[in-house]
Amino acid sequence: MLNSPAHIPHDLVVDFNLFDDHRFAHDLHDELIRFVEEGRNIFWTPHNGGQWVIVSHEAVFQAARDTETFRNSPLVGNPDSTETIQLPIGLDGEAHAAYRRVLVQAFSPKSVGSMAGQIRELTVELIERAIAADACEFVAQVAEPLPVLIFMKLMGFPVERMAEFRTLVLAGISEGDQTRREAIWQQVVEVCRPMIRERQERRRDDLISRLLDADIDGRHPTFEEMEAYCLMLFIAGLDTVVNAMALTVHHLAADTKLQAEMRANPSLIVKGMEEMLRRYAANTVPRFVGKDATFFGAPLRRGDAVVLLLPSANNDPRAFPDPRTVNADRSAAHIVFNAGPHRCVGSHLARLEIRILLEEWLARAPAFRLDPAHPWTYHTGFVFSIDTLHLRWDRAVRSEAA
Amino acid sequence: MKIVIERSGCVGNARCAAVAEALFPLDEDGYIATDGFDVPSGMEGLARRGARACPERIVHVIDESD
Repeated sequence: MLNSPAHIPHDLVVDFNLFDDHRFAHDLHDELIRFVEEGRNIFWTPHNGGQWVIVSHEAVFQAARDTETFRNSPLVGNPDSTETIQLPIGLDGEAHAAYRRVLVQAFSPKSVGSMAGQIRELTVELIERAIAADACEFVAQVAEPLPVLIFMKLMGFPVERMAEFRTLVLAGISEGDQTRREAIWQQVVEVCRPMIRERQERRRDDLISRLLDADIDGRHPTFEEMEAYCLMLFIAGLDTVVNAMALTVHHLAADTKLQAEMRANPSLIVKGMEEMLRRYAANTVPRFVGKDATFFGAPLRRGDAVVLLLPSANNDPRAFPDPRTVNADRSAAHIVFNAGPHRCVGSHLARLEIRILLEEWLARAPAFRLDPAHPWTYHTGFVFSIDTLHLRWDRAVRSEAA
Repeated sequence: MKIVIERSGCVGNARCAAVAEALFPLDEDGYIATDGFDVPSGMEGLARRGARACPERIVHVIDESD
């Protein structure tokens, strides 16, 4: 195993590599849930450059809301770094709030609610195409194009470049090496640059144009700030909902009882969806330590890297008894979209898209199940990515239902 | 029964309103638009569920019968 810095107590060191697909071969969440079942709150891993890993519900909740101890913004400017800080998530405090406001407005419940018709139309179109045969690969046919195309249109990205953009995002979030990852994000910035320039010349009805006119404490964003916005939105908008949709439908394909209940009674969809979001949380959140502190017994040193594991926090038996069981009657609030001032600004859009997907998929698709000949495939990283999810059904079931 | 909300801690999850829109009004941006209220009789259960739905734990139930 790799060495750890001198201030790390030996009993807090765990040989854990988030990017090692091998140890997740049996189950995506199992190993992470075991950390919280053992009662852990935080440990240190020497992998991925060495970092604190915060795992429990209470510790993640506190860390997410304490932005002085757990910072997003850089401690010192590095003159050699060409890295683009992502906006607004690369900042904290008042500066963060000023940059975030325009996105809060663009992704408010009311704003995304006005997109419902467009989302449903695309959802139905993709589903009808997917269920024309007796089987489908759900990621390529539905889970990927649905949220990604909606987001690309919202941003003003050219939808015909979906495959290219997805390749970039997946490469970046699966890359554990910081230098290589930053190089990939730099490619994203280069892809966005001409789109920003074009909107500078002529506004369109899209988010890039709206951001150009955004009010940041009495002025408009600079070109570099536009790049930083676009980088964040590119990464966040082109991936996470894909995985949430695939993980949810994967559960329903295996849990045919819940699937039948939700199909028979669509009013169960909202609660069932929240519970599956909790059970299959798939994101991690990077931070670094802003000041020396003792946190749940761990001696944090200014500058230490930190990652918050939302998958374990939302499966912590101390907050969610019997966490592995999907129980739609659970009422405790989960923090799948993180907590605190950096709460996922896209949560309302994500929820709307997943709800519409489940409503239309359950109404239109026959009773579906996992295809035993093609087990699902996935890989880990900052975000757990579902690569393929093969589903099957019997045509007869559908005609009976109709 | 009363609901007291630490309004400055709201980060716009809007989960309270998802449970009971009439009790938990939101502003244009989706943040809570009240510091609290007396719970109308018959709506105690809904108010409790709305409070429990808050991921930030800033919606508090003050139950005078406790």
